[in-house]
Amino acid sequence: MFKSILIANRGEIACRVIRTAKELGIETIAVYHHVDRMAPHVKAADKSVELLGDTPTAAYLDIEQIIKAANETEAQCLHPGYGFLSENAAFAEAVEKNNVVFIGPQPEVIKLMGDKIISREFARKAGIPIAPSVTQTDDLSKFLKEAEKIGFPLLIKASAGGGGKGMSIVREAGSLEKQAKIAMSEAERYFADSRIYAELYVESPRHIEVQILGDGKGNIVHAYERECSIQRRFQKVIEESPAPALSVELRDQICTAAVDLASKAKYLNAGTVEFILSPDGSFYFLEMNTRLQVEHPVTEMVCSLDLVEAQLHIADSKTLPYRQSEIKQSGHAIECRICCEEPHNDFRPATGDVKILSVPEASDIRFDSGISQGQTISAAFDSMIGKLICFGEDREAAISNAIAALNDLVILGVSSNIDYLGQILEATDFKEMIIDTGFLEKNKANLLFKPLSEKDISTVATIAAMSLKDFRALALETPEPYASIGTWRNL
Amino acid sequence: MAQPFNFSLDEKSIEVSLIKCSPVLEILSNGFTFKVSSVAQVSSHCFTLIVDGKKKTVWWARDDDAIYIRFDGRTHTLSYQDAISVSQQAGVSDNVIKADMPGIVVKTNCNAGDSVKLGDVLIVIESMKMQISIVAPRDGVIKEVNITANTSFEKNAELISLEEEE
Repeated sequence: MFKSILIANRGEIACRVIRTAKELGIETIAVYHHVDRMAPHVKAADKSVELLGDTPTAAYLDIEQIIKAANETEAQCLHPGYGFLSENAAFAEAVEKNNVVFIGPQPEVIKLMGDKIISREFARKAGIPIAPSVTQTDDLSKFLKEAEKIGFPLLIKASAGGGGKGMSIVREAGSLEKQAKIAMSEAERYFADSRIYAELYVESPRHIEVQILGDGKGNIVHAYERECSIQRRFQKVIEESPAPALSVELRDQICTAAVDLASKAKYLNAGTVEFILSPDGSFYFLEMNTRLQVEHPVTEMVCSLDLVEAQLHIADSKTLPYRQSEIKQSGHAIECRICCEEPHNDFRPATGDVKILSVPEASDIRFDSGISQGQTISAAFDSMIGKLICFGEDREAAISNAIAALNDLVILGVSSNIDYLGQILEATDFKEMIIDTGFLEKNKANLLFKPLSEKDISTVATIAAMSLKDFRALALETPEPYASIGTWRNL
Repeated sequence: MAQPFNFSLDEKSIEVSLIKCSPVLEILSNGFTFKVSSVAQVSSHCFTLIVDGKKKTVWWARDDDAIYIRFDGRTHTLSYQDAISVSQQAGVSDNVIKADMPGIVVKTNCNAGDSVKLGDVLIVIESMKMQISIVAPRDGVIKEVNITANTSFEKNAELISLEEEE
């Protein structure tokens, strides 16, 4: 096994990778930008190297500096986490060139799967179902004509895209040209690549993905599926495994398709094949993510495995750590993404200091985060600061566990979506498994708290008053310096 | 009855005062009376109490004027003006209401020439993501309103002035 690892990331995923590496006795090396110098991932690592950058994000994207850090610390391998450089083929190549093992797939596979048009064509040739589509060539009018033939609604996407950028749903021929041009300019702006394509838009689709592991020689195992349909603007909010209301046959077909695709690509290390599932049971290849996913813990919980350990094993030995028959799915896990944002204010990102952080602790609750009490949440990074993952024997138990855990999760000082997530889990449609990617939009009205009644406002103020030292002194007649921890006064 | 404690939540000003201390606490808040008992500290920022027969576990934090409270699975942000700063504000009484910190005007409730009473909400501002009601420091007549809704202002900006006291 490796003796040392550099984690080219920050936040919760850096902490996550460090945890397993430490368990395996591997020396951990963090990189950080100045604003993160006190961050948990830096404290958790055995060593750390500062990265300079005009902006914090630029530092974590600086290939040269990260390679230099790896060389200087003699890191034997490098874990890219997700986001940042994790799906950058040039980075993976540079890492390997410097005799550092990249924990991820081969650069050419990253490149193949990173291009939506090329990867779809690859999937089609591999016999994986793909939605009817048309790719834009130089001739825009021809593209529009072909697209129209597929029928509406259509989904327009950027070839180099991701994260919902350059994506739009077109419902009628009249707005096709305009939407295509908008998508092209967005694609150019975000990805410096204006190519787009149009595909049949599946109404009320579900998003199902399959976790796979590959040895780089065509041998693939899967660790079953995850349901990721609860999304806002194409960003996942809640994920679970197994996918609810999915027949065993359909699940097997989807998992088999994922394995076939990864096998044809001679995929190395951990990856995820994403599919769109139509209400009629047909499913289509969406894309392959060539890295560890944010939502990997739900798979770890139901399959009782450690995917980071599996990644390290594969990178080290180029063999798979498990046989397919050894991977069993049992129970149910739900992940809630904790974001610093203002749900009542159109989810505007929130910043501030984490004054109080209290996390529920139990064997069936996991909180993966990169924050600590006292930390400042700045606008420099993604608003997702952690994930609460809860297990239950079945879906109902997992939901009640997650609702209780969200109740007990306290982050004060900066707005978060904790209460909003609780509302999603409480929603009747969620409990009854009526879910698709339109869930949050459809249930919008039920998901935000109703304004407080006069009585509620009064209750809140009463309790706020009780939190004040001066008010308590008046009410409980306990001089504060003498009030011992544990009780102020038990009336 | 002791001097009330002043909060604001969702643009609303709320007065909380202690009516009785025994046998249980009786607290008057926004016109409602609550019975509070069994107050016990769990940790430095967590306590339990029984409000009108219902047990609550409360987490709290303070950041200057902001109070964060979490109970029953919901987090609330209030602003609190302690008695000293209220009296200071009233004590300023040099006819000009200035901004303590930069912010944005959410709405204005008064125009030049309006007669106002002590405690009337003149404007609502948003500062540090908190909505704060600015109240009249005394009875009087508005001389000038120097700001309009949805505009920003800097610290120490003169927001509203009152006519000289007669």
